[in-house]
Amino acid sequence: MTDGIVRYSQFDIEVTYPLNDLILLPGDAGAAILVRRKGAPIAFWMQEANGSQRVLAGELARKISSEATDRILAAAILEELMPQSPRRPLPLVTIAICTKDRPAGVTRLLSSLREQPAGLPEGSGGLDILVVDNAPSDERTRELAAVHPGVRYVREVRPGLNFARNRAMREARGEILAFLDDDVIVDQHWSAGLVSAWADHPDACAFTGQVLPMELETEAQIVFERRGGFRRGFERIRFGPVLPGNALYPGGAGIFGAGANMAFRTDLLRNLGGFDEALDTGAEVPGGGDLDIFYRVIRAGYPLVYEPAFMVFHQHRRDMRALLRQYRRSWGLGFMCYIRKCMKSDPERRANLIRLIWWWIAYQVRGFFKNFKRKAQRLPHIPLAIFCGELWGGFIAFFGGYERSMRRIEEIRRRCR
Amino acid sequence: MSQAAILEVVICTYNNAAMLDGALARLAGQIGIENAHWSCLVVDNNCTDNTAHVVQRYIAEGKIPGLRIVSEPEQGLTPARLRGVRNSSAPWVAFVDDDCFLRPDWIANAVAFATSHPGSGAFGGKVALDWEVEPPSYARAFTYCFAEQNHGDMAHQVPFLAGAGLIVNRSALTACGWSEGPLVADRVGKSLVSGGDVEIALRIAGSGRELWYVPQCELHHQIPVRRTTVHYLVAMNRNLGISQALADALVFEGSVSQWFSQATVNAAKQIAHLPRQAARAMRSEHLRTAMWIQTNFTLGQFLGVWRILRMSSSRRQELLGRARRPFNARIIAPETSRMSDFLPWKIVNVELRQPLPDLTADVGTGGLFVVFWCQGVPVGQLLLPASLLPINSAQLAVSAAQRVARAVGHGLMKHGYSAPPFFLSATARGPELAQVLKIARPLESFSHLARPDNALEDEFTAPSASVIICTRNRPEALRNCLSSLRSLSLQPREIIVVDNDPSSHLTAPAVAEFPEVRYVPEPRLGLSAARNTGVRNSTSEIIAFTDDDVIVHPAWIGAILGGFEDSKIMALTGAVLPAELATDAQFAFQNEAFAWELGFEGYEALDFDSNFFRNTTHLGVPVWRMGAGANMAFRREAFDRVGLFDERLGAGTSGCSEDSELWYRLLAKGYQCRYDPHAVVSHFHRSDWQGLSYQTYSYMRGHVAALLFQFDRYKHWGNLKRAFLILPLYFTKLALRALLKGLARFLVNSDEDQPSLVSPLHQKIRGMLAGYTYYLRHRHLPADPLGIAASENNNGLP
Repeated sequence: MTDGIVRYSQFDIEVTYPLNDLILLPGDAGAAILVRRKGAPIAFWMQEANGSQRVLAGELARKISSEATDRILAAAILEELMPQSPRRPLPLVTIAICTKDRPAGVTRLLSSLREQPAGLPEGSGGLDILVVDNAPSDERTRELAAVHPGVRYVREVRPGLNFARNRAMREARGEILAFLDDDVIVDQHWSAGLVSAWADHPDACAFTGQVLPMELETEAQIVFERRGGFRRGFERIRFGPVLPGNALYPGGAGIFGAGANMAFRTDLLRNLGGFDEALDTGAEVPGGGDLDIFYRVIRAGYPLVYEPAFMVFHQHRRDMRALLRQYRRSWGLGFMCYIRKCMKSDPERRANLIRLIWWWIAYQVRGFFKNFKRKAQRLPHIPLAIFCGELWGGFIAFFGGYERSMRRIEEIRRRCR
Repeated sequence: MSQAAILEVVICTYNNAAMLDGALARLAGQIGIENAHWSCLVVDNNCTDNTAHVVQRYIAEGKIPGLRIVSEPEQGLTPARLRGVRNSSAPWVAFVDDDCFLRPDWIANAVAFATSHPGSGAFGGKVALDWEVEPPSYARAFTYCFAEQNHGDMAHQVPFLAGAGLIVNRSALTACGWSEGPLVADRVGKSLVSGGDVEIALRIAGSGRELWYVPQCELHHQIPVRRTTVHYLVAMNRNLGISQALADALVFEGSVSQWFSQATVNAAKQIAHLPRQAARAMRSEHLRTAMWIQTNFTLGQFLGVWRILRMSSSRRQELLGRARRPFNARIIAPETSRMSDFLPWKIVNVELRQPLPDLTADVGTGGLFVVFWCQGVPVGQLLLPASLLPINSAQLAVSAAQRVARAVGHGLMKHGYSAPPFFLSATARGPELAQVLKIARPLESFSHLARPDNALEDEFTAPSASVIICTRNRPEALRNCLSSLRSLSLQPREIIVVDNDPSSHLTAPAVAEFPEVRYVPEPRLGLSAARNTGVRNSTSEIIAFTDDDVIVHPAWIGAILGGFEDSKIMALTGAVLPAELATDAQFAFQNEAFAWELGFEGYEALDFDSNFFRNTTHLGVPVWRMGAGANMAFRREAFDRVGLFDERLGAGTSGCSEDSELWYRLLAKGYQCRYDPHAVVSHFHRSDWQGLSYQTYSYMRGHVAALLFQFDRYKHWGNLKRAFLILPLYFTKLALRALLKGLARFLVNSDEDQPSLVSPLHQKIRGMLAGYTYYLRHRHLPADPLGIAASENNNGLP
């Protein structure tokens, strides 16, 4: 990586239109390219600039054909098999935006949501937007909600993301409850993706979607995206009680998607008892809540559907120290708290979960050793601190992390009664 | 009693009068026995209590037909049973213990089953346990000590039966030699040396007779308090361990030295298990007790082995392998010896040009193996475990589109599409994006490609085809295969069945039912010899081979002839789909062994040419990836150019690879071969594990032998490299991985002892070594002893 210039220009290409050369900004380190076919995302990759200011159309076409030919054809075959995609109307959807002191992010998300209702099929219930302000330090978010018509505002005084999510669950009016983080914006086809997943999977309890980077401007953002980010591929997956070929299922970290973009059937979510408030609670344990709810959805026997067109763009941490903290806390600590919790609450899968811990350790170690391969391919390397941080977070949480968190939220509940 | 009894209930008892009273009361209370002729014999094994009085009371009562009592002075369950068998004459003998309380319809059900299955060797029913008092928790884990038996509510064949309530066919008992001399001493009084009942069931099974589980013959085994103490369980387990060792010896196949090495390996394994169990046992008192009892079982096994070692060598010879299953019995019996909860998978064909169905799982299916077809051409597959079902048509459409895209694209864009399997990579070229985008309706375009069958028929120049089926003593399978050939939409000029074991007279009558089929005997053993005889007797330009365990699809011949329209093609192979996935062995073969062999799922056409050959010669050309001998065809010209099948290779001789070796010769000469999924057959995979395991061994042996013969012929060093470097390294890697996995499992202390579905690695390694020696022993033999095609002496590329 050369002297601090790390920006990757982002391109959004519709493959059914004629391709043009892509022109990078001066000093760009590379290009991040999202390819769509008739609006639906089919491929995303990052490529190095290697000194050139341009990605030629011919080169781009070759790259697309090697990355996405199967998916282009699959999409054409699907159109042939299911000529008129079912337009099952979507019921009222409550979109819960859980936020804490980030009015700019909420404003950005609200404006991206403005175009969505147009894409809903005839007879749909529309969108009910709910901003859950989580233990705010000022009134900016309340004022902001007031100026946006049709946006409900509630305040959850107990600090912690899952407190806010459970509040949203209680306040929700819609049959579907979608959660969006305040650091994302939704894609223009976001609701269309939800409509099609909902139409094809009437029995599903939860929907997750693609999460792509909103910007790739700093080293931290690029390192995160290089390490896989939140991406989960471009094929729709229906997760059932088993996943052939994956013995660790449904424990695996993040195979279902991310909490930044997920939706549930409200009644089923309430039946499951909502989110575990001891996970995803503030700065102490800022992760694991989404893993835990997906795990419980699957273990309760409900299908979960991952739909790539149900897509949002996430603003990754800009600052390397914040990213390291996120690896240590959100993924290391949060993940291990979640595993320890499942080991207690689901003894049947205990042996499986212990194997998952070993797998996770091996995964970190392998991830680090992949750096040598990256070096050979001249890709930027991923700092050792990330792996160590994540392992360290997991190590701390393994020994009573979840119990500590339980005590902490008891304390919060008492204090905020 | 007016008629002779067909069932004799033999109750052996020793000082247990109170319990015996209960058992006889249950016998006296049998219902539904108006038409059943049975009697009862009590064998008094030196009882000192009032057993005789109890029996006399029931004789006086007269409710049990033909009740009588004999005494056996030699102490022990086995001598007592033997006495019972000798002192009765009924064709069926039921061994009921004095603590077994029969269900009221037991006799009626047993007689009914015996009458309807006169050929079976033995059967037994559900054995439930009646605890005198609520058992301690540790005893619950050891219900096998009390012969608990529950294989569900359906009658079916089983590999083994418990001794309590075992009903045996006298003729089977005589045939297996048990009545002349039991080999294993049974419980002696209360001293509990067990194993006699194990021996009966094993030896009957070993003589080739069927064992059946008949749940309706249900009995309740009384478990008194004294039998649930730790002390009793420890002693019981030690003795069961001894019986286990003896039983293992009874069914062992091989020499004494092999048995000894096997026993040593087992002992080492058991000992290696101990620390792990000990670690687990630290957790609780309950586990510690269980561990202690379990350890005694292991100890008993050692004692049993020790006992066999101490036997005189003649007695040991007699014992070892006495209940070994005869070769034929093993092939015929579909029942696997592995107790597994595998549920059969159903094969579902989905035609994409028609509206898609909703898929649901039937009760008792493990899942659906979905094959997607487009206008009669298979284009992809999808495995759906039952737990993921049902799925609706919209969900199926999404999966189908993902699964078939490659094969459809490949068909539409010929060989410009996507990267072909790695071994063809030299010819790889990405497709033009514009071309991909132009395809608006891929399935429709694809279905236009599918050749209508009659297009060929009309052509004057269409070549003629002979179908050759080589078979060996499988008349039933052959009948199915020949019937499927009748439904071919385009009939071949001739169908030739080559019988590789004419002396058994099994095949000829089956072929006689099909007048259009020609029967050719070939007594020289070996698939290659049979195939060569078929070729010599055929007359057509195109010679297609299939196997007797195959069902061909109606368009098969049409597709083969279509494939040969390209005059460059000398050999053609086609898709082999599973005909059934009823057992775990078949499932494993389909999804692991088969996929490994082909390296891809087999829905895309592939051309194998001199380019392919050149690019892979240095590694040993992977010719085996071209397909399977169950579905292949050649131009007659090919045999003229490169000779017939190498008779040193193939099933019956080296094991396999006679097909791939011939392809090797064709490719080496610069001819072209093709894999074309338009030509489809369905294959019945081996249904039993032993069969699959043996197959793994013989495949590897044949493969390595073929590599060495190929080297012999062409001096292509790649073959040697593969035989002596690549394969051993690969197996080492697999072994290391297995070792690591075992270590990890040890560390993690996981309870999941799921055996891998991959056929055992050691069979592959054994096969590889056997391949070397096979080559050394047979390299001087002629490839084609009849010497018709002697033209193939020149070596090297053209």
